[in-house]
Amino acid sequence: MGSCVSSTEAATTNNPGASAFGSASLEAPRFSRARAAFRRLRRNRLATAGLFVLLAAVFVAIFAPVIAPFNPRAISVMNALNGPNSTNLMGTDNLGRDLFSRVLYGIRMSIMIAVISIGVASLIGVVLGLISGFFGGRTDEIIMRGMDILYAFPDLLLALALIATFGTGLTGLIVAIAIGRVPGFARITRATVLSVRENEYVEAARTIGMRDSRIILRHILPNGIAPIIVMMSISLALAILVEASLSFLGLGIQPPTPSLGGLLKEALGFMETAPWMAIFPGLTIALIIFSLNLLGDGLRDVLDPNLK
Amino acid sequence: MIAYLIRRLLHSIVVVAGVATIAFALLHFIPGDPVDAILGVESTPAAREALRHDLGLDRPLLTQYVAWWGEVLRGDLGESVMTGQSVSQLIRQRLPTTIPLAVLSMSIALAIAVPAGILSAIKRNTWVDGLVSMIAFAGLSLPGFWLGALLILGFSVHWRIFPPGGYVSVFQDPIDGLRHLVLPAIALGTTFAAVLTRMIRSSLLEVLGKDYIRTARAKGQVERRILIRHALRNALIPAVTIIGVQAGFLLSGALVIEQIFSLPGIGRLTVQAVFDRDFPLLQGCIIVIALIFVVANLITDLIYVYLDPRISYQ
Repeated sequence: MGSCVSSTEAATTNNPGASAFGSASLEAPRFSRARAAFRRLRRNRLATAGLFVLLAAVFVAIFAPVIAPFNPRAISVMNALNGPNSTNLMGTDNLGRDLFSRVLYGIRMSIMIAVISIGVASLIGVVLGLISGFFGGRTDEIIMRGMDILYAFPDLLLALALIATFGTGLTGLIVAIAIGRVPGFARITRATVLSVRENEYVEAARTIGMRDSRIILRHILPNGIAPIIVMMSISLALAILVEASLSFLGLGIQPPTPSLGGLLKEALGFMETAPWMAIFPGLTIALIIFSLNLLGDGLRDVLDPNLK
Repeated sequence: MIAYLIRRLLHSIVVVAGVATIAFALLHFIPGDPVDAILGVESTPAAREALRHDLGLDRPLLTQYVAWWGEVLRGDLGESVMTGQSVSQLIRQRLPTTIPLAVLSMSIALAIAVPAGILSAIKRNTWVDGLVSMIAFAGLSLPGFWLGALLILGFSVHWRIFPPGGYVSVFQDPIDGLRHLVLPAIALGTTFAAVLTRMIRSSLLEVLGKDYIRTARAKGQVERRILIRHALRNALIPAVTIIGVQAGFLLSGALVIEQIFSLPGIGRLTVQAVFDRDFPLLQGCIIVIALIFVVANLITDLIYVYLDPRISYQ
């Protein structure tokens, strides 16, 4: 599980959204915009609450093995279907496993998958959007028609189709979730590039003979980062939802590894006798998605009022 | 206008053709031998040969692709690997379940969102607005399948008002059929209701700030009349646009909701096809779902252009 921790951390630090917050404490002048944005975000109480819940979730995701009171896979038939009590905070499941520990590990799984898949999706989407917007013409036409085609798949359907082909498994799951989110990033990046491209400073950079790649990275991308960050936070919510849906259908994370969607699937057979099995994992998913939506909304107000 | 229609239609055709091509390609992207993946490695050589022939895998790729298009354009989506039944027939049997479900959940969503959105906008920045916005936000965050499970827990297990699942055709027994659809439709429509409420609120607020509303107020119009005659009509136009996009979310949600409530709709058929790795069936479901989605978006765009004469057709 050690590798999971490091990959989660790596993906988190690669995430421009995270670095915008991380950089808020830095004193260097080039981060002043991020700092100002962070200060405005703090004034939005709901968004700040969302941010705190998410930080707590990320903390849990990283330290689940330390926090969890029990081994999430340890079966104890004697203790099956116990309601919430002081030993088992969220009760136990039909095999006597501690639900609280399983939920903690479920959060870890959900967050890891969401962060990696959105990291991949944003990288691919932003690169395609930059190319499409900057070069225009036939390249633009081909890339954007491809994105339109991907967009015509309802989220979950595309993921299902990819899983049917590549099979269930962590990599397949991440790819399945990531591909569906690429068009969103490509479209929003392209739109920003188009609006920034005609500015005089881009013209000036071109006149002094700057290379295209340098113009894109130095002058265009930094101006388009705000909508991309907002998109990330909304996409993370969707990614968590799609992962939970897939695991709920039995096509995502496979048992005995706990995942939030998988826990709900297991709960369905015990709705009358053990409703807590369904209530806690569902509440956890809802809370994480709720917080991401609050944060996304707050970020949109702070970073890009025009988007609203 | 005509030029716009033609261009929009061509664009839709390109998108559906692209989706169909991806659907065709899925079978060929399977790592290893697709026949192994479908039948398992322990199948008999004769069965494998038969399936290979049925799927057309013994022919060159280009021939397969051209032949496949010929069949799709004639409405022939092939036969299910598992049951041998015609895919188009299987889908036709399932649509009468999914379509009433989608229509009912859209109706429920509209019935909640229109009054809630209006209320939120006219009571802007009061506790009423805050409460409606909070509920809308929560609705946006509830996973439909969890809400479905909670609804079963409350209304079927505890109070026994609605059946926990199962299916009765609304076309044969409208009342019992609807009773079976109410809970799934609520579970499916909640997100839509939330999105729509927020949309109507912000669009109505924008319209209420316009000059012509001030003019109406200045000449002494009654507030209610201003709201209904002047503001609402214009405010609801943008809301129309998201109905098309939401059709995709509804179809996506139906994949899961039909599973929980054991409804034999196209969503459940698709999930079954994935479990069985029944590729002809999966391809058929993908094409039909994408087609519904694209057509819904096309119709929405056209309605939008019709409703708002300011939109240019460029």
